Amino acid sequence: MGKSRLAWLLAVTLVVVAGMWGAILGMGLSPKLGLDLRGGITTTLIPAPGQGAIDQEVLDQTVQIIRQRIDGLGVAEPEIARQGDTILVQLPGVADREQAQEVIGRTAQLQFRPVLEVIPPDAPGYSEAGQPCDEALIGPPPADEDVVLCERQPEPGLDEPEVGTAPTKYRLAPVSVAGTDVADARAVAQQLGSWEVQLDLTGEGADRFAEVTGALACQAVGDPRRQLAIVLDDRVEIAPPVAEGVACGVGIGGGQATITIGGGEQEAKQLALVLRTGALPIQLDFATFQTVSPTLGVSSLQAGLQAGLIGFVLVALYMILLYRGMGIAAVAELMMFGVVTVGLIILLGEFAGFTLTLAGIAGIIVSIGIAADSSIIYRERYRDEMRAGRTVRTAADHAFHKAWRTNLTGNTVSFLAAVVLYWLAVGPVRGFAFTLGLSTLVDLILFGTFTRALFGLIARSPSLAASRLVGLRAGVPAELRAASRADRARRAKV
Amino acid sequence: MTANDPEAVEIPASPSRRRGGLSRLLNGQSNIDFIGRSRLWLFVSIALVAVAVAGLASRQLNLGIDFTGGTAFTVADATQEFDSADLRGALADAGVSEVVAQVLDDGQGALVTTSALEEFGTQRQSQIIDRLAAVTGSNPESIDVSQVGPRWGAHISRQALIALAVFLILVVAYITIRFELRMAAAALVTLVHDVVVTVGIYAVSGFEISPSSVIALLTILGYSLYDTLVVFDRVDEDTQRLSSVSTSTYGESANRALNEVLMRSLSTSATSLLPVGSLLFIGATLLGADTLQDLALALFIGMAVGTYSSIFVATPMLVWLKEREPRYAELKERLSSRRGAAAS
Repeated sequence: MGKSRLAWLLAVTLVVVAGMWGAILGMGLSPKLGLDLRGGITTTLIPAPGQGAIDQEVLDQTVQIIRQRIDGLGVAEPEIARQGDTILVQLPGVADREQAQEVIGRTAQLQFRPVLEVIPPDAPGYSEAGQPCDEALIGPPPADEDVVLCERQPEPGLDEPEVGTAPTKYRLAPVSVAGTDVADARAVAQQLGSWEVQLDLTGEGADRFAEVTGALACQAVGDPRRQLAIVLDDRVEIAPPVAEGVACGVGIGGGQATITIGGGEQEAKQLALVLRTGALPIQLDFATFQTVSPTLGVSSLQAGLQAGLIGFVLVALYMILLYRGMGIAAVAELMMFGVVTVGLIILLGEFAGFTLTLAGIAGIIVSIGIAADSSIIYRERYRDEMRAGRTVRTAADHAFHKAWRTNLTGNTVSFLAAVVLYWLAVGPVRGFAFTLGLSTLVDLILFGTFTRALFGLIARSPSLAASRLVGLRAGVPAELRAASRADRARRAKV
Repeated sequence: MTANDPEAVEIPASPSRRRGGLSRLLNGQSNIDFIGRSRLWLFVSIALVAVAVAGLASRQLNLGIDFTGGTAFTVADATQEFDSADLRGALADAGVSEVVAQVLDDGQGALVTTSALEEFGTQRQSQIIDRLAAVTGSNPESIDVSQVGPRWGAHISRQALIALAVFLILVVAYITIRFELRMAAAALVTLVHDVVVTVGIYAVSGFEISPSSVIALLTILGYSLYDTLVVFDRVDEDTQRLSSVSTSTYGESANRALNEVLMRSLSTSATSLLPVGSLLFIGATLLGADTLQDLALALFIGMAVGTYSSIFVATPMLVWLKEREPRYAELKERLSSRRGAAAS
């Protein structure tokens, strides 16, 4: 490549980078920060065991339902995404930990089961029936078997020990209507300040609901076997009896039902929410739950930036110490690398939704080493070529081609590692893998453009090449250089 | 310079011989016999691996709550004096024992970890937060909770193992295509060495393993391989010129290549370890940077092991494999008999 073409290459690179930053500054963009840097709640949900293999469609459907449920919370910009077979929920700026846990935590399976027997705590055989109520079932209760389940109780507090508050147990028939049969549910105010929940069922669900309520209506009023239990996870939420007016064998038809409850607005809305969105196709467990306050987020961000800055300065000093003027050029290459990588992260945040997390920052810091390595490989290779007796200009060109080959090989492996990590890993690992992979690409591109042009142009400038400060002849023993000069002189004579 | 003097290949008879080791290194004229002493490096590596395996067998790895399940509370902006006994007391009030409590940030913050509390979103958690706030004089809002269920660890470990397997297969395929199968084999042995030694260091030292450590481990593999490939690239270039009439064996050529890239290897290790070292330093002193610290620690250890192995494990291994090829074996035999004759 001739001098003018190298100058062109340098100019084009600078114009492209300047254009990128012009756009970023012009639009006033800044990196999109992850919740670990600006505060919020992050949680990962994982399918409960004992449900067999779960296909991706079902998981996507689950993500949809959780999204609706969170939209009901009114959180700004929630992010709910499937990552492999886990679901990642991110709620920026949510301060109310308990509310969020309550709403996402109800990652439940909803079942309607006819009641066979009500077992109050003082009944004989209470403790033998089913499992103790303070133990959770593993997985959802089996749909096609009779089960004994406990009634849901409010969380016991620390200061109010659980004395004499054992929950009622219910012996229940197999599932008659599944949660997925519920089309909609809403809390409706009645006269006299009482509330009820109206339930809409899907076509098939409506038929099954009519059938089961018709059968239950044949029991005498007041018989526990007239009750239909609404089961969420392994707890009975409520077990209302079928109303007096419902005819035996006919049931509640039309796909609509009304549940009259004892409580007020809050209870009604809570039940409606459970009915509406409790209908997850699978049961999920919390795998991780993390809250980060804005204070901690800011301090993490500062820690990341400080570490990056210190690392950069140390590497820059090392390069200058080792390569003098060419070390300053290497620092320029490093700065270019930083400017392009940060610019791309900002643009990707804006246009592709990439969020920068603490692990992502770590990825960038680690990549300082990779970027510096390209400069080192080039310079060491260049010295080798000089020792072989080449002139500054031809040494620079030969070294570029050989260093490019080495760099390509090494970066390919780093890139492979980043891609594999990105596709297979979960959680924070992805952010790290993404920035690492991006940096590897940026490094390779800049090596072929900016670094090549800068080094080539310096080598082609007679005054710079001769300067001891630039150090293009440093690291090459005098006798090797002298020999090559002598050779040239001899050849000139012949 | 005569052909049967192997020294002459590496160092021209010149004044530079009188220079110090550092100067020779900077001038690319180091002449360290890496390959000739492979038995020594083999011994060192086997000793390292043995210590690592013994450490793994005798001591449990210190797994963080991400693997075992549990809850961590991070307190920021503490306004009153407290010590770790106060923190443990706050959890003991709530009936939680098995607590690790640390005071951070010159008493302005704290980290309290327990392997209990696997239930999510309980009132008990809120009450612990209130008690921690009372003990430290911090605002309950600025106490952060990180909770991990018991199955998460198994999940991420499985993902990491899959990632590792896929990565190794891709790498072997890539090196075989780019160079050759024997280089892929040597690189693979090096990688296994690095993983065993790094995990062994964790076992022996008792450093806590978090998901960040696992990320770091996979990154190290990429890094170690990168380093190995830079060396192999040069070995490949130098040994391509070898023919049946060459004056140096495959091992000698590889050794020369190693010396040629030695300065590069050392510089790259320095420039990689400097940023990671600053991460480690910042992570250790500032609150909220434990992700950074865990990552940096594993990277620091792994990069150091990776630098060692690319020089002392990968290339000797490659030479050992290559000199079993008939043409390089013959070359070696022919040269040694000729040198023997020249010496007598």
